[in-house]
Amino acid sequence: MLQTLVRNKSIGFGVIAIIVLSGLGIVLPAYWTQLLTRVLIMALFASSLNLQVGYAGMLPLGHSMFLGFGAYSFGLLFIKGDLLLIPALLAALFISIAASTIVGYLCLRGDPMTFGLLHLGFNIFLSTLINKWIRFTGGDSGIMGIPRPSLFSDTLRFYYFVLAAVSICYILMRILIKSPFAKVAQGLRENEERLRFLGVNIRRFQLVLFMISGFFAAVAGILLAMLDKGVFPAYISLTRSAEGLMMCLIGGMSSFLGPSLGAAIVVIISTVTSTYIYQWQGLLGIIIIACVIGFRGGILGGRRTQSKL
Amino acid sequence: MILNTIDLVKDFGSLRAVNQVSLEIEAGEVRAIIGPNGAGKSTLLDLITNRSHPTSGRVYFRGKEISHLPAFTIASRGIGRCFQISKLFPGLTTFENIQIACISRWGKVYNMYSSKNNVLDHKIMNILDSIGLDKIVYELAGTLSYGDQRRLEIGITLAMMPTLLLLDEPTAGVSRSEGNDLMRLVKKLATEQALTIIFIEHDMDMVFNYADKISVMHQGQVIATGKPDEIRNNNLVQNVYLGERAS
Repeated sequence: MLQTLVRNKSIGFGVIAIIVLSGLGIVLPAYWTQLLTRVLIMALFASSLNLQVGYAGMLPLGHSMFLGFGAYSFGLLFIKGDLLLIPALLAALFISIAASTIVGYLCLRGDPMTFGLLHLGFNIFLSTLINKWIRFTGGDSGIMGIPRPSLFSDTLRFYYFVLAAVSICYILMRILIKSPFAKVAQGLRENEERLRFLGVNIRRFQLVLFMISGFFAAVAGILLAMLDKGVFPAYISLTRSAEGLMMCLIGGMSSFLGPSLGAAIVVIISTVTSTYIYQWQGLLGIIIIACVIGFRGGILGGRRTQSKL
Repeated sequence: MILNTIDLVKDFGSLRAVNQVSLEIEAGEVRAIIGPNGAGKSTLLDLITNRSHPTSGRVYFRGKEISHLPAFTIASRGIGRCFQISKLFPGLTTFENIQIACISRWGKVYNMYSSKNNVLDHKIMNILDSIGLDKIVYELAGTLSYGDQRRLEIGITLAMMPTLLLLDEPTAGVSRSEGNDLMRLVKKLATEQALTIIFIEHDMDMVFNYADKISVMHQGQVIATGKPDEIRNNNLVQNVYLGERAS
């Protein structure tokens, strides 16, 4: 067992990370456990975004849409649709995949800039719709009363629930990024035209990647709704989309764990530091500037070699 | 006949870059396309591979019309393309460059579970060996010498196992000896894999040494097609292009 872990560094690191995170749940006070839960969820959100940004070189400027799709469809199905928790969860995932397919189909037409701007346009439209359609979405107040699974209702148990869900998603993503599909995604990032002349249908490929990325973001959205026991327009805001990009940029897009580290930094700065520093956004800005100038590949970035990605 | 074009025309605004070009390429042939800069040679390759849509005219590959097909479908039907400026995956290693081509060729683009490290390794190494890059498999493609980049692009294209290979100035920017090595390699691989080759070239020694037939373009039109000796002695070709170069 130990030899296997040593031989396969990824598995070994994953197992150690899960053990350490499980232990932290026991030793940390409730406030920090809750914060760590948020870090895990946002790490999943950032990693889902990085599938597009870091691996395939796409620039989705409105990725919070998919966090919002997951959270709102789950909240609406449970509160307004009177579905039970599990059916609401499954239906929310299905709706999120369908929505990401439609949005992806409409956004993926032409060059990366067109894609980015269309993506941003959809984000703005949906964000406005959610804010203004008060009777359906609750507007600024959001939707309250989102439940957690009954077995995992307290802070510590919910933390383990999130840890398990995020770990499963990470394992799936890790398998994905070791697959031929991810290698082709890197080819897309490096030279789209060469890939086209190798017989790859670029638009279809991007759409599939878009759906996968949207699925993981939707899972993060559902978990976030459970954590906050409600769904709020901030989930789908442009600020949240920008935060996702910041997490990838700060942590490092060329590393699997880079966005997760970025998520931890952004969540801690925006939650903890904001208690002590009034202008905490300024601190975030300075970190981004430092990353762009000093660490071009982010904290876990660096020179691309075959061992990475 | 593996490829024929019928009255291909390409207009860029008021400029007619390709004018009523009809070509017939036999299977196994090595065809050179020559002509002065701006004659429409690269545009013709763009039209064949649908990198650029023809204004009018048709392209047939193995008897089937391909003019309306997207570039990726044309590539998967067996037309490989090397560009005037190498199109590689610069941030990936030489191994990974070939690997992506093999993944596409063997229909594994949407394979999301098997480890990439085990996919087609043997085939990839064979290709790297055949193009002489087997000693630098972990070098990033963007850091290779220009000659090696040309070799790698040929390798990427060959990994798709095309039946027709289009090469746009394969020896441009490399030394005479490197150019000869490259063309010898192409000719050898073409013979081994029963490839048909169309190549654009400005170096007349290369053209006359390696081409079975030559088509000469001038101002968007094909003004002559024939065997190397016929082209060398063609008065019209002498006047508009070869001049003193071939005498």
